[in-house]
Amino acid sequence: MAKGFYTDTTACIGCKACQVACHQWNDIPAAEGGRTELSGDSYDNTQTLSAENWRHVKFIEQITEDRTQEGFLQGSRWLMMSDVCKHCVHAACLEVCPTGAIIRTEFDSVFIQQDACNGCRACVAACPFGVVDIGRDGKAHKCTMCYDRLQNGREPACAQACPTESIRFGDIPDLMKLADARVAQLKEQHIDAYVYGKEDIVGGLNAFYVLVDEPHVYGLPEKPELGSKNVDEGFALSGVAAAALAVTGLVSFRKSRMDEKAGAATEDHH
Amino acid sequence: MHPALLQILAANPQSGVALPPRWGWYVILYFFLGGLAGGLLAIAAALDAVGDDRDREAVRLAHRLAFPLVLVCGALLTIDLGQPLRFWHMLIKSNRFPEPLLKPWSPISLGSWIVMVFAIIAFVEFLGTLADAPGDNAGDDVLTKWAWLAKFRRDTLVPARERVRSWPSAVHRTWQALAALAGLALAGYTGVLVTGTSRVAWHNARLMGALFLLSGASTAYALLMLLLVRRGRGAADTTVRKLGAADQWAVGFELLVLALMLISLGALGRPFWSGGFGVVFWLGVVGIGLIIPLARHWIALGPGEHGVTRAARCVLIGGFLLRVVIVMSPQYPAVPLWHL
Amino acid sequence: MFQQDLQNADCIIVMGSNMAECHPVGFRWVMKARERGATIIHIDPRFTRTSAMSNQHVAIRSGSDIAFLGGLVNYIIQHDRWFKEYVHAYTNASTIVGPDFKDTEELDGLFSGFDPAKRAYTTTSWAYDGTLAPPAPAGSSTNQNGAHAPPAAPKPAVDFRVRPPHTDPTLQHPRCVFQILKRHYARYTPEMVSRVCGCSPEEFERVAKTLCDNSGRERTSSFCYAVGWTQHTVGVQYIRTASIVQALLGNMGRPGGGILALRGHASIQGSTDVPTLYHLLPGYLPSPSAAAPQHDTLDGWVANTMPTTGWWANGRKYMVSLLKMWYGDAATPDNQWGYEFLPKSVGDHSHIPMFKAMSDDVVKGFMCIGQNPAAGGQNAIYNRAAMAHLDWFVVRDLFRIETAEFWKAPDIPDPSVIKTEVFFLPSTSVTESDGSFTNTQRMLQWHDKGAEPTGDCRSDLWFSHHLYKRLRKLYEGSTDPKDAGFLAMTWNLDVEGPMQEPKAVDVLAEINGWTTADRVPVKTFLDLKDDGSTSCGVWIYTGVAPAPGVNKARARVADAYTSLGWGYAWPANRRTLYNRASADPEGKPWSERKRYVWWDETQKKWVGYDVPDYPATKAPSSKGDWAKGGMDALDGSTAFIMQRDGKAWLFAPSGIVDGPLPAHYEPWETGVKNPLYGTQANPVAKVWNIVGNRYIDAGDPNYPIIITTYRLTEHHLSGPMSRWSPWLTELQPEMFIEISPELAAEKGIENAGWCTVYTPRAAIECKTLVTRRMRPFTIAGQRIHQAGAPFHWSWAGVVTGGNANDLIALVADPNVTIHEGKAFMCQIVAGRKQAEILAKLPDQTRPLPLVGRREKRAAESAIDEGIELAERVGQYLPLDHPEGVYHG
Repeated sequence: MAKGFYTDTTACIGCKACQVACHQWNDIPAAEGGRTELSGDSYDNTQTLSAENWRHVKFIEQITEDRTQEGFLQGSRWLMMSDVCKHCVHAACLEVCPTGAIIRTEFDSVFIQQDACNGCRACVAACPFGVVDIGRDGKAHKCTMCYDRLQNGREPACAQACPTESIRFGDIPDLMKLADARVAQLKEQHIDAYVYGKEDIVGGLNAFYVLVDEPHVYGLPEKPELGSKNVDEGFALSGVAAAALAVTGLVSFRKSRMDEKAGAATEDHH
Repeated sequence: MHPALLQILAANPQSGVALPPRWGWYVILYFFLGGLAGGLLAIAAALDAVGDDRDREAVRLAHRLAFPLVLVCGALLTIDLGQPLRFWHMLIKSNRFPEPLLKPWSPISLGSWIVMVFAIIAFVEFLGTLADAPGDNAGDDVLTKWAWLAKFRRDTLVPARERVRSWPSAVHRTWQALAALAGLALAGYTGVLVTGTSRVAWHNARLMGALFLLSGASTAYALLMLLLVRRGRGAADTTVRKLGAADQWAVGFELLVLALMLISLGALGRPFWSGGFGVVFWLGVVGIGLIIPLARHWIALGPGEHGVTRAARCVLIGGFLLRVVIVMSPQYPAVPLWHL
Repeated sequence: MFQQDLQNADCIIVMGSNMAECHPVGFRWVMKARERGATIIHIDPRFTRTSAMSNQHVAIRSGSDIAFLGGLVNYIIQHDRWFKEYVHAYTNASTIVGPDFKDTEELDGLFSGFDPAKRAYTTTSWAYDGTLAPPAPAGSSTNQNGAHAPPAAPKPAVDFRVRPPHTDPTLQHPRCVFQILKRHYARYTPEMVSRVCGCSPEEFERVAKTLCDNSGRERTSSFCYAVGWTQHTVGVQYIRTASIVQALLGNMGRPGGGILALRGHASIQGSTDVPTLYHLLPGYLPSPSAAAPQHDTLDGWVANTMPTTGWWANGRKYMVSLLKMWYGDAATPDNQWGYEFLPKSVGDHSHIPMFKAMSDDVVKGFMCIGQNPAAGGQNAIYNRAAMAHLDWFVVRDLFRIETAEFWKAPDIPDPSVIKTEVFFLPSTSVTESDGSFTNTQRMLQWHDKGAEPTGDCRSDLWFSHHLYKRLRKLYEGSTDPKDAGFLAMTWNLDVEGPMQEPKAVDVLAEINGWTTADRVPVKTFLDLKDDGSTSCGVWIYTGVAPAPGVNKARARVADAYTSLGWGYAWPANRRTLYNRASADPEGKPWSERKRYVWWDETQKKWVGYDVPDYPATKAPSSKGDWAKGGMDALDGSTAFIMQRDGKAWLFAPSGIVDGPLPAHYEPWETGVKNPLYGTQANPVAKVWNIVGNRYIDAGDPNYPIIITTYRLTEHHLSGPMSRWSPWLTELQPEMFIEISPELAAEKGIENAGWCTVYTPRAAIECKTLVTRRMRPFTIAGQRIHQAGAPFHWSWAGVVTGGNANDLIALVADPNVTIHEGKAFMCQIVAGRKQAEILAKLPDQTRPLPLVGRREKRAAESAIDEGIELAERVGQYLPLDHPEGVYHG
């Protein structure tokens, strides 16, 4: 049974407990020893998922100039979203990994086996969500969906820590029902909500979201593609180029000989 | 979120936002030298197949160079890994030793095998050059200096080569085809690897494999011409002229493919040709690397060999800078230039 | 009310609070309410993470809440939206006030009884009609140098002993509370609210309508507040206004209704229950005062502080039981149960006056336990300078916080003139000892030790116990009368383990209380007596440990609603106070939807979802007999049993020193002339006109920007609990202020750029977040900017930065001496200009130089005293001793 995260961003209060719980459970040190810099980007001083930040809360201020607010999420609003590895059903990182380090677990999550990874960074370049990154130890790291906790019957640390149950963990079909219900409830309040992460997004995300604005506002791609999408075409076009090269090369090599045979007489005069 | 990335996302909804993989100088050098090595082997195979005796020297040069180059490539790839000692994990399943591991849909997985196969073929060809008459090739004094090598050559390599030469031509043709294929694959797969990512500017560049393949060939042609001239073959030399003609075609195709690629990328391709790397791209990659060599009949590059060597150097510089721009510009400024 | 009850609210107003950021875990219940369709309104100068979750955010300028809330009172009355049956039965709306009372409408912002010379009110004219007792000692401690002022009369001037108050059930009498209330707030129209607060009249009316639509029989609304209300010179009055609103709407004591005070620390509720306050004894018994002659005797104290009607008529039992617990056999009928042992306060001994006393060399030694005044104190520079006057100073904390190394402050250039001997005694964290928390809803929850302490770290219980043991030895044999009390103290604690740690459950047993003779735990405070047969440490907690081995604070049985099996809420495990009011005068719930506690006619007792906050068998139909006193004086429909008349007080005839009704006063530092009254600010606010604490005059053009201070979720207070943890510091690494783009443009400040903020007290440099979540206000026709500053940073820790507390003045609410940190004035300039600005501030703003008084004292004797003390306290060494260094 596929398990994963359903995050209702309309219930996120931006407290970052998910970030701290993740760091604490996985014993990941703070960036720069805790001495990061004020980014100026709202309350987001983490800025990106990385080998050390497996949860990242984004803050998007949408306050109108006249500061009016007609209702919840209508008019001025401040959107918050806890970003995480999407544990895609069709995972670009898993697909491209040449060492087989990235696997799919029995919970349908995507997991990087640290004893296999050799740090080639193909996964870093392949993930369309900008999730995976290489760590100081030279290996790729990302959210493990607390695989160790799942194997012991617990839920991931972030889901447990989230005070408003914005992040919920469970069986994907059950969570999707909750998400659809929430979308319906928001639509009744005239809020343009939708689920991001159904099958249309790389086959489905095992960490999906209810959002209230377009994906790019949240720094998410609208129609992410797998890295491999253009590979076949790339090889085919290379084949064409190779053919063109072969023909012109072979002809050049032979032609010169023919020319040469023809011009042998005149050359002798030189 | 970097504001530039947000802008890209807004304008191009299907763009991914992959983090920069920090592929730096090792990877750039590998792409360049790999293209060179691949091109050399492919050209050697073609020349061997349809060329004459005067082309022998070029074939031997290519065979002598390909293997050392691919060794360097292997070293570069290994050093570049976050865990270099685990390089073999890309060929063998680390938790199910010694099962081999190949994911043909993953260019990097396929590529590690391509490098492996290429290295084997290049090694055989390299051994072949050792069996040549001393003095045929550069560095041959080593053959006489090291007694064990001279003995190995006399007792093993030379007889083996005689035996191989006696095999039917179908075998030779097949071998040449394989070598050419391996060479072209090595030169081109790295471009497809770049396409097989989600990084903006890389992902939609479907022609990158073709571009790298052509660049590998053009730089290999150029290198061979340079070396031949250094060994005393003049500008009018038939081999040099053959290579020059083929190179013109390769560079011409390269320019065409580059133009097509940039047009198809549109705004997504901006990192390549504008911003921090714009100057390098236009002056270095296009101007020096493509336009000048193509126009060398109209531009006075110098009389005779000078014209050839200068044009060849331009191609090589342009080929190197091409890799620099393609690899670096979409990761800049997130990754500093000196980051290895 | 309790936090989980918020899910039953139909409307929640978060005001004076940033609940999502400061109480994120409790905020889940607001979210649950929202899931069920409740409307969430956030009223705050800034658009915060709470506003992001709300249906409506109304921005008002800092310091204008009473105008807004008063506007609600006016709206409710004018639109006839008050819950009539509730108000008639449960509030003092019908009570008639004495003829001498004059309201702010008549005296342009003052109430009757103001003495300008003393800057204090005589409150006798506020008394209910016909119930005046002889006048009590006058005055409140509003003098300029708080530590030396005569203290407030701790209890009211009214005396109900004789008869119940006069009432007019028709609410027409011109001096009945309802009519006074109506007149008092008549000018708090939506337009006036807009003028004073800076919101639009429409926004205000939308809030008012929503609130009214969600109150009454079928629906209830709640307010949630925190220090955004309390940290003002009129802080107590802010809360009073809200309680008037909620009483008029009939929300008090109802499910999903009421006012939730959001307290700021894990156990600060416990710190006022048990308490660490100078003016209270455990269980909110008033501390005896040396200024009240009646307080010389126990009987006099009881007569002066305890009413004869209502629940507090039992007060004597609790006092005697407390004294019996403290003094054991030494407490006898002959010495008034040990009452004479109790020290009596001689003034306002709260934080600010205490530091003033330090500064004046009156207080020579100081134990600072789990607090960080060097960074967290208001006018922190003043606090640091004051500490430099001490002879000795003990700091107990987890880290070498700013207070532990106060001489390293950037504004103390030459520490060598400081002669203070500082002892740092590292403490354990919560997880390294047993104990309990009492949270914001009065609930005790036990926590078990999870890890052994390391090194020299010891718990506060260990410290108190061993300090007592050593002091006891030193005091042995003393015949000085002032030591008699200390020598008479009981001390029932055993120690266990290699660290000799006392058992926290033993303390809990004392808190719960037992019968003196045989130490059988008392089950309920109903069993406490005033004849010495019971001993009880904290009467409101009685019942938490009702039998040997039973610890209800440890209970963890939850259900879908009140979870009476989870923890123990005082009093008697009641979750919602005054829940009698959830039923009508006949004892039936006001509606099925809002059923909570009701009278069961068959069982002849109160039943329901909660422990009834009422005598269990007192029938709704019972009549009161005033002569009998106690609860018998009140009839069966008096829900507010802690008041002497059993009513919720819309008008407060006593107990508050700055007015029976809240009125809008401007903050002490403001840029606005009070649009409502000629009286500009709270006329009896506590002020300190001393060096280092210069105030601005209202409207000073040099300080034109309103500034407020607040918390961020990622940090805690002045930093000791968060700026030492990299996982937290990486989330918010640098000090910053928040300003609007309009202000940024005026000042030429860039987002994430440096700026300097300054007041007459200090200048700090910090980064800037430019955001539309801040906005300029139009107040009484003029445009005023507002900025905001988190107060988490100072110079010690993983990350450091400018300290917002340096900027704040010492000025306080006169009832509780809480400082005004939420509304004052500043100036902001771009760039890092601290040195430049400090050079230009007049000398009067800087605290006294540290040389001077200290040097006059014999340096040697001070050192000798310090060494002696160190030896007495134990093996602990001064801070700069190599072995005494705490390796954090």
